[in-house]
Amino acid sequence: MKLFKFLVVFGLFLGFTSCEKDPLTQPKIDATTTELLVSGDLKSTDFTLFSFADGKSLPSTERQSEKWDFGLTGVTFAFNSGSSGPGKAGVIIVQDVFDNILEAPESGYLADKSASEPAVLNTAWFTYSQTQFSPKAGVVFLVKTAKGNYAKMEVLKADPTDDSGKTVSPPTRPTKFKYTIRYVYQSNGKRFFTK
Amino acid sequence: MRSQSTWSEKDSMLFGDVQEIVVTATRTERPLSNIAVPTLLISAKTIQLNGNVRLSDLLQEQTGLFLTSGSGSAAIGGGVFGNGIQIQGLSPDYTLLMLDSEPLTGRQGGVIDLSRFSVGNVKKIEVIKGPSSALYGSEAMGGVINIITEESRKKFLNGSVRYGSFNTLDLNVSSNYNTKKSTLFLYANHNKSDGYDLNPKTEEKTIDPYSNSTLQLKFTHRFTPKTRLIWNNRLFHGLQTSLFALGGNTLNIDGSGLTTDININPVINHLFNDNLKTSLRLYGSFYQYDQSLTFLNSGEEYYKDDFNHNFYRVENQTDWTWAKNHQLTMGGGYNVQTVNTIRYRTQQIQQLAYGFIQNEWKINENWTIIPGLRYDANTDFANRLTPKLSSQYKVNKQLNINFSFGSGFKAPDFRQLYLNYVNPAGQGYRIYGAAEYSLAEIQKQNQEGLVDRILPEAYEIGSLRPEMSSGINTGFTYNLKNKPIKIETNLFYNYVTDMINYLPIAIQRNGAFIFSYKNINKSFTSGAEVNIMGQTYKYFNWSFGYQFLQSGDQAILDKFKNERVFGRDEPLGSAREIKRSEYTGLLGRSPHMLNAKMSYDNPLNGWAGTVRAIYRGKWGVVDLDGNGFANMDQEYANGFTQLNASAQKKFSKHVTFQINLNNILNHIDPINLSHMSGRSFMIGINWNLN
Repeated sequence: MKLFKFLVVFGLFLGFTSCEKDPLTQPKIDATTTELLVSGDLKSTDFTLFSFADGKSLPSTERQSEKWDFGLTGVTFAFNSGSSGPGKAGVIIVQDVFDNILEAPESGYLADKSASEPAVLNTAWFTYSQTQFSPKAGVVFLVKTAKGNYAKMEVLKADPTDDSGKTVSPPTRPTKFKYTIRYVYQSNGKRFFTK
Repeated sequence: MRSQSTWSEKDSMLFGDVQEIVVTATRTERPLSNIAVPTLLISAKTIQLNGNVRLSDLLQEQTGLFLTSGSGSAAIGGGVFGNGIQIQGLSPDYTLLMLDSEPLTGRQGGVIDLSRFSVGNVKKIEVIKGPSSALYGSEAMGGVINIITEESRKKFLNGSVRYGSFNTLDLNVSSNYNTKKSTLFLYANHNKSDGYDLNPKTEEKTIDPYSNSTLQLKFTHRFTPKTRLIWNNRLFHGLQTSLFALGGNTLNIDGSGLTTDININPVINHLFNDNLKTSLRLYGSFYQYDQSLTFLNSGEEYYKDDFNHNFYRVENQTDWTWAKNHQLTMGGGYNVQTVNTIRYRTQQIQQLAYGFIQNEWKINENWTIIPGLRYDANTDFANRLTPKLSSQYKVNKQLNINFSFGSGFKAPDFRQLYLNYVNPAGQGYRIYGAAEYSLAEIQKQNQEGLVDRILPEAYEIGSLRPEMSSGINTGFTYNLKNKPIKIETNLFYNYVTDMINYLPIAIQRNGAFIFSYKNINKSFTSGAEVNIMGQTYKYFNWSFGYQFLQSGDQAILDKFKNERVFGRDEPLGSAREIKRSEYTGLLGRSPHMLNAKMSYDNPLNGWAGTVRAIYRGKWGVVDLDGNGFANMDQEYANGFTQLNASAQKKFSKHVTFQINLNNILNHIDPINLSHMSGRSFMIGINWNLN
């Protein structure tokens, strides 16, 4: 009888696992690299908004909508929730190899509490010398989007530029920052960055 | 390490029949062969044969000395930081630079610009490698460079005219006038150039036009056979114009930087008897850098600063041979320094009193040990006790073994203490020197809304301690028995603690950081140096030098041990974990540096010349991926070989004609090697009327 029970349980288990493929072994979703030109005025609250679903930036007039996931101005990040917007967004910063992260955590996402208590501190993601902004390699933003999907993102480059996006070097005051980001967006609401 | 060309034509000199004297290593005159610390001696003869015009050109050709490149344009940080020398991988601000054994002032951004010193009246240059603070105090962490000027009583009148690429003109006149008891030395140099442009894509020049003049008057007088006065006066006047494009491609700012540097240095030496002598040294140094930059179209002021640094010193040194095999060197002094600039709130004054003692003990004929100790007490930071121990053992006539251990320190400099400055052009950031910083003030600004957020680091800023180093040097010199060949080696290790860095402490309402200074980093440099020099045919000398250098930042090394370190292989590449074995150490350090030289000097037909090559292996210059070191190709400056040559012919007893070719391979790197012009030449004629 015990053996029978065991076989039934074992059989059920086998059937279950063979139906539900392990998402961690599936092919990875390809990462997208894109550029964002944002305000270089460090006083600015004029965020350039970005939507992972659309893969492009939105004007700051969309601030009160759920269309955007994160915003950038100067070197400041905002996420669409809390004090920054009406959405359900949040962020967790981890130190890891971007490509190796296959799963976003279930919980622990931080929201902006106020302008002075943002979810992401400047020091968390870049180092700064008087002549160079250097996004830290290995810093990955795990993002819960405004609509509750998941994405992972890393900042590859943050160049101070003029209005046209041409790099300038200090002491010239930049009017813009050109960010190059790399991200993977999972549109189906699951936490796995696989197909 | 003896510079090759200090050996003259005679074979015998190679083996020290004629002693070369060094004063910097022990503060007393000693034959080079008896010096226990790594020492480089560059003679006037070497300089003359090479045809070097400026100190920076000369030093960068020596083993283990790395010339750091400042910005030639006034565009960066509102100042020209100039070219400094790294010794044993330690930055230029850790090297004490002296003129006739007195410290030179006028550091801009921590660097004294070596290109402003002409080498026309130099008798010799002594470079001591390794910590020497036990004798010289602050700054002598990586080493000491001592420029010693001519003092010969033999009558001479010397003039030279040199002209070359970029409209560079160099004029020298030197002479002396003797009476029975007195000598007056005169030296005048004028050096001007149109500068050059290494990057035609930018509007501004890489090096702006400059015009420098140096006048030196040295007076010596023998009051009695035992009492002598040496009064040295030097005046430097340098003008550099600047024209650059701020915020675009149109030249929109012009102006000038005017440097005036005056050194006054009377010294009285008195010999009580064969065993006891003393010297009293007075020194005043007045450095001024006036910079004024205005917008071309509006005439509006962009930047203006009159930077003043005055330095006053009184010092006594007494040498006493108190037993047959013991010589005591002791002394003390008192400094006052004042600095004035718009970057500081008010004029700042620093006072320092110090004493030092050193005993040279000849244990036996072959073995000498020299312990030394110095104490520095001052107004603005913690007092400091620095020891040093050096030892030499002569195994036999061919082989000497040297060992030294010493500590060094560098006092927090004026900018680290007193800066109170808002960058007008950059990101609008603000910097407080540690002595200017007040947490209460930041908190007040926070309440007033000027400061947006106070970072945790703000609570950790306190009074600064001097930066500290410990260093070990050990090596040998070996003269081959039957061949005129000499080999010198040195292994070194320097550990620097309490390094002062700036760090963000608050974020202003405008989003820009407020910075202040704190003792943070620890790092090491270590390596090996080898010099081999010799003679092939009668008139040929050759030399070869190599330095291997490793360095590391302790915080990054700890991160490798305790956490994970990431990096990218290309700027837009994906991040990966970096292994400890891939760590390349501190930025700005070239791990492999080579130099080779062949010189020819034939007194019979008057022909002489040199071919010199230096190689610098690639070195990290920037951190693009935020891990603090160079790991991708784009973070490095390319290694390079610089080939220089000189040839001269003496036409008569009085007239010598010389031609120099520099950077024959035409290696240029506008960003990382702004001091290196493209291929250039210089022709010159020298009159020597005795």
